[in-house]
Amino acid sequence: MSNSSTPDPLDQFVALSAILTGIAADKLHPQLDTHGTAAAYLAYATQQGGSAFTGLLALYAQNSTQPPDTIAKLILQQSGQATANIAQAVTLMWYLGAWYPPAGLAAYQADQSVPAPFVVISSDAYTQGWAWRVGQAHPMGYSDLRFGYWNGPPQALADLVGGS
Amino acid sequence: MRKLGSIIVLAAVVVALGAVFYFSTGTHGQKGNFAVSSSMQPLAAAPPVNPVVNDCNITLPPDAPAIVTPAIARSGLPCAVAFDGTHQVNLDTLQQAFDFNSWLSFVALSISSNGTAPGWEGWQDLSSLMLPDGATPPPFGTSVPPPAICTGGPAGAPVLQMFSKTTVTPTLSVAGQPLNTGPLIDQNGNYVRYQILVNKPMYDYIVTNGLYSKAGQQRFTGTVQFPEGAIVSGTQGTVGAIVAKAAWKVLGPGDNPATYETVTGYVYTPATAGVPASCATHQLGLVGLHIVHKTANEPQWNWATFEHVDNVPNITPAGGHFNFYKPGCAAAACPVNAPPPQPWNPSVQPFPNDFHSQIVRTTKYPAEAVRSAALWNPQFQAALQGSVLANYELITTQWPTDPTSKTDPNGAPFPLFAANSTMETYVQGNVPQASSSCMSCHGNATGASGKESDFSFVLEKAQ
Repeated sequence: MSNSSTPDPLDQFVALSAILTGIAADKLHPQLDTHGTAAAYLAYATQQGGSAFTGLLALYAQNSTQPPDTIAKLILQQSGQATANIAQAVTLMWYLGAWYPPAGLAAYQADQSVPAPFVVISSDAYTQGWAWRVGQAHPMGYSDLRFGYWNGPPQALADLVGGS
Repeated sequence: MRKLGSIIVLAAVVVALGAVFYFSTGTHGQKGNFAVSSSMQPLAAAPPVNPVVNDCNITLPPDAPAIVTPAIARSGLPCAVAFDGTHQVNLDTLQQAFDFNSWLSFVALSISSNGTAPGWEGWQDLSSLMLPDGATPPPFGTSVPPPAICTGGPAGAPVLQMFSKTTVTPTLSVAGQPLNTGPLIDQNGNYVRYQILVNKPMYDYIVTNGLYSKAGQQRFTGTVQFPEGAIVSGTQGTVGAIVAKAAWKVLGPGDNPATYETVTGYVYTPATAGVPASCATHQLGLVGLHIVHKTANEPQWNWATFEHVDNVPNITPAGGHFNFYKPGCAAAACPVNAPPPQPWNPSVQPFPNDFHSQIVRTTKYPAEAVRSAALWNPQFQAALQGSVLANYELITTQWPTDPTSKTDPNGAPFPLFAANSTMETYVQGNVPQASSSCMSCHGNATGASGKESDFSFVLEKAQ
């Protein structure tokens, strides 16, 4: 974490993301972040999410000393639909490597017969989607594991997503 | 700021003079896990194929403002990456340490100590290790006679027959190209030729364990673990298995031999169906070199790659001379990064219809790798003025950021992608699982029997 008196936006974003996703912050943003996913997502969300996203970051910053569950409820249930939708977009970004515009998420909640539109952020984002690891699996068409890995048990969930 | 106290450094080797602490890089970036490196094991643990040597280079990267002097540039072969633990530990500082190590290794292995051929050129060629019918290889350093058709060259002239870095025997079929990518043709229409050479510790490990034949690999019941480089104490340490993959071009019109590491060798093409064997003596210039070293703290190996500075442009240039790019040539006549049209017959040179490869560098490197190359390349090139080595540049070093990762057996490589324009010519780029990544590719390496072979495809060439 930054030693500066001004919070590092990346650290703030990662801490917020850990609460939204349930994945350990040091998994989302390792000290040696070879993929640079956190920085890329912060830039992407800032560009695509506009004031809703900066407002979400500000809301987190104002309440960052609260327990995670309290912050989650504040964001998802107590701060209005727009805040909840941008938080959902951030969550989906981490899990699926795709950006779901908050307006599309809002429309989907009103009419679930029409899928919410999305765009896959990058090929790297596709392989780094946390949905794969939470499922103790790997992306279709991509794996770092050795030939024959399917002959053994999946990797431990705690090793993949952090925590115990 | 992330200071040393909050990060992992596996081994601390105290250099008595000056009381400076040197840290070998370990599980880079993980927290709260101080452990003793295998480099601290007692000497008796070193396998006999790589005994302890007394002259490991433990020179640290110079502090800012960094100055690489001629003495530093020529200070010798590191046994392992040296890293100053007083610096912040991040991708910038670690990439700089690995790249510095790569340059020291390149110079140490490329400068002759006694006026003869540079070190790596004297190593054993793969074709003299993996012999027909699994025959026992000769002792390391033995000069293998050239094919009978090759005559007139100097004694000990290398035989260059590969026209892909991944094949030992040329073939005219697409199926024979493991990556289905194709050969590289220079501006004079000549095929680039390749060598794969291994150093003595690796060679002796293979021979000692009988891994030079398919039958021997079947008999081998252990796990292939090539010897590791490590610092033991002070400048004492072990040199690990090192592989050199070299790309050579025939020097001809438009080339200035004085700017290349050169060799006079036999350019040999064995007979294939309907095509007789050919062999000619040429002066060749080094255009690409991989140096891959297995170390105790990087069991996924360190992957350095160098190129001649005139190889290819990063972007479309207005002019100039390149080994594998013709400025001003229209795309229709010179398709960019396209393999040559078939058939491929290296006995026929120059390539028919005036074809030559039109190659540009397309792999995008992360900012840390770009900054590090920009830091070291000019300094080493300046320090090496007067040597042909000043005409080479480090493209990058790929290394494991988390060598002991429980979830990524490749150790979380950085940069994610790495390519030499002369060897991974047609698989450059940044597409997962499709573009060139040394460690991601070699992590799948197996021997001829299908068992994992410790990041080296050398064993699958056994007969």
